[in-house]
Amino acid sequence: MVGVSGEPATFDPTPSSVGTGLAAVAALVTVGSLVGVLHGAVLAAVGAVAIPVAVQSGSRRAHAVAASFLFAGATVAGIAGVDPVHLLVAVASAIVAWDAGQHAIGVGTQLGRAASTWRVELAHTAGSLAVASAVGVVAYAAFTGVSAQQTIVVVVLVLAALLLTWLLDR
Amino acid sequence: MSYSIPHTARVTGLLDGTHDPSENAIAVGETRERKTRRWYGVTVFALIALGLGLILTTPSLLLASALGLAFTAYGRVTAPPPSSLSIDRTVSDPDPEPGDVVRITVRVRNDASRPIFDCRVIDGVPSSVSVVEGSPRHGTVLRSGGETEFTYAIEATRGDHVFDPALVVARDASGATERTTAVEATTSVSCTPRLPADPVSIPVRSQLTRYTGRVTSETDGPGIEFSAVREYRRGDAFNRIDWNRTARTGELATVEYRTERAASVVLLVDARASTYRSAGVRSVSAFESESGSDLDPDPDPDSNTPSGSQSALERSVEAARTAAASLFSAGHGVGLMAMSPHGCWIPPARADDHRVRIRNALATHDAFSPISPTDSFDTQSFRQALHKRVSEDAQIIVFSPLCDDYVAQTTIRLDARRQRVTVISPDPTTDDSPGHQLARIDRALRVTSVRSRGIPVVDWTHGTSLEQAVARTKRRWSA
Repeated sequence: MVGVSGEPATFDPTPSSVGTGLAAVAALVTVGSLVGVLHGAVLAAVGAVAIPVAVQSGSRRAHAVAASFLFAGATVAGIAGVDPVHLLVAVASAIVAWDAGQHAIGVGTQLGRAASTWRVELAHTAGSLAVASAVGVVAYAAFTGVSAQQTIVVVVLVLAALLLTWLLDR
Repeated sequence: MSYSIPHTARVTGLLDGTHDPSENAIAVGETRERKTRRWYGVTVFALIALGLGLILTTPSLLLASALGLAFTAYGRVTAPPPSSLSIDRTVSDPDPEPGDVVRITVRVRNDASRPIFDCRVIDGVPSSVSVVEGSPRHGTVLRSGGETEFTYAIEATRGDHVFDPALVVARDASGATERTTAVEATTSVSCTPRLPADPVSIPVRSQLTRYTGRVTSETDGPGIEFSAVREYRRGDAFNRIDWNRTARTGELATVEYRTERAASVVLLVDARASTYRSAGVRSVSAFESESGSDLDPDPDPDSNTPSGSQSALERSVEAARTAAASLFSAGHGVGLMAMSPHGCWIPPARADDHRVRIRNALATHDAFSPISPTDSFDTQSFRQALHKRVSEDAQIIVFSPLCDDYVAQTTIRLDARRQRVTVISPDPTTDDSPGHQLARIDRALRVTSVRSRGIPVVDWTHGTSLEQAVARTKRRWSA
């Protein structure tokens, strides 16, 4: 892992309990908001159980797999026709669970368990949560403003967002 | 007499474990920027949800997709973090004794006009000391002009320890861009152990200089210890005439004493890479040390850390410090020479400032650095230098674990040149494996062969005090 000279050989890269806890709570919120759709909730629950274990293991890949269960649960519930508000909350919290977990693993490998890192982790997750809330509210407002027949308008909007993303990537 | 300050902070494995370490070295002032690509997973989900939403004409999935895409954009629009920071270290005791716990307080300030949402600091702890309390790493949020402080403790070991630049990893709020930079803050901890005040007396052999000292010589003259009474010769001092005898016999007689002379002693410390091993953790085997540094070109720095048992070199230096104190207090001239790729040579002298010179050299000279030398040691040129520098009337005390034949041969050659040599040998061997047992027997044979030439060898076994070892050797030689 990170080798800084002079430190004891027992550098512990395990992510902090703060980051792990944030990811776990976010994952539970996903499960809670999907309770209405059984198979979606079950898929998300698998992810919610796996996320703290994966974060503590320090493996980004394991965490990505665990988080993909949350996203899969949300997608399945979305197909099954869950209420859009619940779906938005589920996706937003799944993103926060992904973000907090990845961040905790990164902080763990760079700073180790012995370092004080809670400020960084709380601030980072608070930022992500704020963005998720703001975007969620705006998206929901736009969604309710457009009737179901005008799906084509939504498609055009989403494609515009994609184009914007691609342009920003330049 | 200090290490040069390294220009780079080591960030091995920080960015990606597979990278070449040299790619990860960052110069002070240089900033390296990296895209973390940490939102790619969310983007993938957003695209899948978008596709499914379009195929199955499920509007709520498009809604979910929009949320995911928003986070992709979040990663794109956040500005890279500022990386202008300053670091200030406070050391609780810049001049500690070995074994003291030194507290280091690091203050980090954000000099930029924007906040750093994610600031990770890894302090450049010198590789020669180990952290015993707290962590030299810290993560925090720094507003513009904001400061943070963290404290950790190191255990002082012999030597000059210069801190490396601290490494700062800053990320923007979304974490999409990471900037790594090295920040200089000149700090050093200098641990110079004193020469012991009441040292074990190290025996000196009977090869003396013409200066008055404390070693009783073979020649008669003025002194304290009675030697003989002889007939008065014209010019003898009045105070040496034996008046009692003169009164009895009527003839003048003169008392002779043994003259006391000083010796000139060169302490020769074996500080080659092979002496950096310690008993217990990784003990010396004859096979390892004979093939020299190529088997172990870059010894694991952890094996050199003083936690655990002391290395043979550390014990040699300790013995040399005791010997220097003992010889100085007996009025002898003391010189110092290192058997190391980093040459160290201090000619023998007796002055007070010389005592300080020897003390400082033993503590902080490159040759005795706690990090083992990587340069190869030229045996031929060392022997030439030794013969050139050490005068014939000086005697030599060799401090070496005697782990290979080179030192034993050098000692025997010196003896053959009628130089008086004593060997003080910290025993680094253990018997926990057949290889180690063999190395131990090899070393014992070497000790015997040196002793068979009449050269005193103080065999200082692990776990005993130097005093005991010296006493045992004195008995052997007086018997």
